[in-house]
Amino acid sequence: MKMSEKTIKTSASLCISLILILFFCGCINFPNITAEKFSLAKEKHFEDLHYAIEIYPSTVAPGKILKLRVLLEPKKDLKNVVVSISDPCLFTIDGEAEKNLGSLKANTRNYVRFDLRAPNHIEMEMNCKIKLRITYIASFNILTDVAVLSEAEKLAGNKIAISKSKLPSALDVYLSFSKEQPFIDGEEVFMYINYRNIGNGIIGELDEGNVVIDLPNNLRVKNCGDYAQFGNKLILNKKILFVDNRGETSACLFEARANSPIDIEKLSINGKYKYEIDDSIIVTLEKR
Amino acid sequence: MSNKKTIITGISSISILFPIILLCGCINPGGFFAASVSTNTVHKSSDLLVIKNIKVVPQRVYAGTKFTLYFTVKHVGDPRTSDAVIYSLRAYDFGICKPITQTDMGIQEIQPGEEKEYSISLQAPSNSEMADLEAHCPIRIRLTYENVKARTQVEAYVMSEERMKTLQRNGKFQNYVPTQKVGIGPVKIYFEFLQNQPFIAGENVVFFVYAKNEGDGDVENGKILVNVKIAGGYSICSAELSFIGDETNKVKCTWVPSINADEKMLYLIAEATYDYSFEKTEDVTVYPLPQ
Repeated sequence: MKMSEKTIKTSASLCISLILILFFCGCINFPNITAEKFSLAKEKHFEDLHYAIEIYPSTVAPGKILKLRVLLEPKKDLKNVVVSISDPCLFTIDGEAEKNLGSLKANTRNYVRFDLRAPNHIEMEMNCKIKLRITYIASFNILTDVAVLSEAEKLAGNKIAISKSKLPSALDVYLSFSKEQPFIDGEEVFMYINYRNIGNGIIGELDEGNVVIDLPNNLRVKNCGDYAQFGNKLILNKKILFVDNRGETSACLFEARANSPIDIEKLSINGKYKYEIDDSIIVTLEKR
Repeated sequence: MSNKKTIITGISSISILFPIILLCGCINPGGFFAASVSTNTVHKSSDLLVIKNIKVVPQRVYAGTKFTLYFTVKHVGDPRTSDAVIYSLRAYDFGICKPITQTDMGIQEIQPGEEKEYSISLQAPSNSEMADLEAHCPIRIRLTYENVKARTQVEAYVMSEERMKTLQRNGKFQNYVPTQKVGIGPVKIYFEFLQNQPFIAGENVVFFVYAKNEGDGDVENGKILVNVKIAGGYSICSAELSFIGDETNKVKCTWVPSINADEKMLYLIAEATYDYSFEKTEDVTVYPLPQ
């Protein structure tokens, strides 16, 4: 019994010594020790997503590979997410320049990797600007109370709290009325819809059919030229162009109708937009 | 008398009217006021090879004695970015001193960062040759290097017209100030653009190229042949630049950039090979031997 304990101790110490020898001789490949250490080249937090661009190495010798990794963390659900190298500078891309990630769920971590090969020869050491582009389709949503009072209720001077909400979005929708709420039964009210790009990216245009207004029963459409009416829905029937980050303003004329003395209902606007974010990182390209 | 008055009134009217018309933009002064757009310029050292640490041993040289001049040639370039240089070195004027060792060190190669030491031993003149007076031996060393490349790289940001309009519509359009990186060595090539960047793909871009001698020596033959090309691509223009003083004439190049994307950063490289020489003089004082 005593003998076997001694044998166990001896074998254990032999094993430990052997592992240590192998470790220092480099015979065992510990993956974490030799792992590539990506360095953070850029990180941005926008309304729709957070992204980080990491590279390895930060200085690239001729003919060597630059590994570029993009981490995307959407703050809301995004569709048709595409990450591409829009300008590889003097590098050539090993594989696809464009990676389609499809739909990404909010608060998930998603990685895209590109391998870029440095040219075999350059005349001068240089700082190469590699440009990336992230495109996606995101949705926006705005919800507001529409309060219509009968004449008698309005005269009674009741105060009505109007609640409004909207999802944070690179495309900000600002809704306003020509008169203050609550409206009086039978009066005509203009509603103005303003679109604003508050993000750092580009919205080319808002496409036809991509904005839907769900009307409450206490508003009746009298004229809403930019939108086609389908029952209680108004659907954008033209392209909205953006100039200097602002879309053309839409104006709709409604007649307020109180279906009860105090009629408070919801108006919602839902839409989707294509967004493009351009960014770049600087990588030093060595001469030799 | 009346005629003179009319002429004076006419001249003063013109002198008043001309600046008004000019300020209103009715007269286009053409190239007279045409200004180049700004660029960020990053310079590397104007020195490539230097002669330094010149030392005379013994420090005090007397008539009729031997003395030695020690000096070092250094390649000041960065080993990661510069090339080796071939040079020739010789001492050629010694005044009334006489060299007693080799004065022509021949053709040699030096690597970036490397230093090479040299020495020349000389015989000081005798008291009688100096008429018992203090004398001076100006020792001139001439270093000539060959086939050295002057390089400048400048950014050329090119964009499609459609992309530019999209950016303008979104309020994201900005002019880009390019950086030009001027390489090591006394001969520096510069780009001068007349148009703001980004350049529009498919439209003419006009720019000038010229060179300056920013070192203490001379460019052999007083001229260089400059070639401008796209990094990793085709040649745009080439021309001979002649030095008048320390600066050359400006050569006009026209380029029509084309890209297969909506925007791209291209790099223009101007390159010229030249030979260059400079001198270093060490004035050695020879004292008469006390009688």
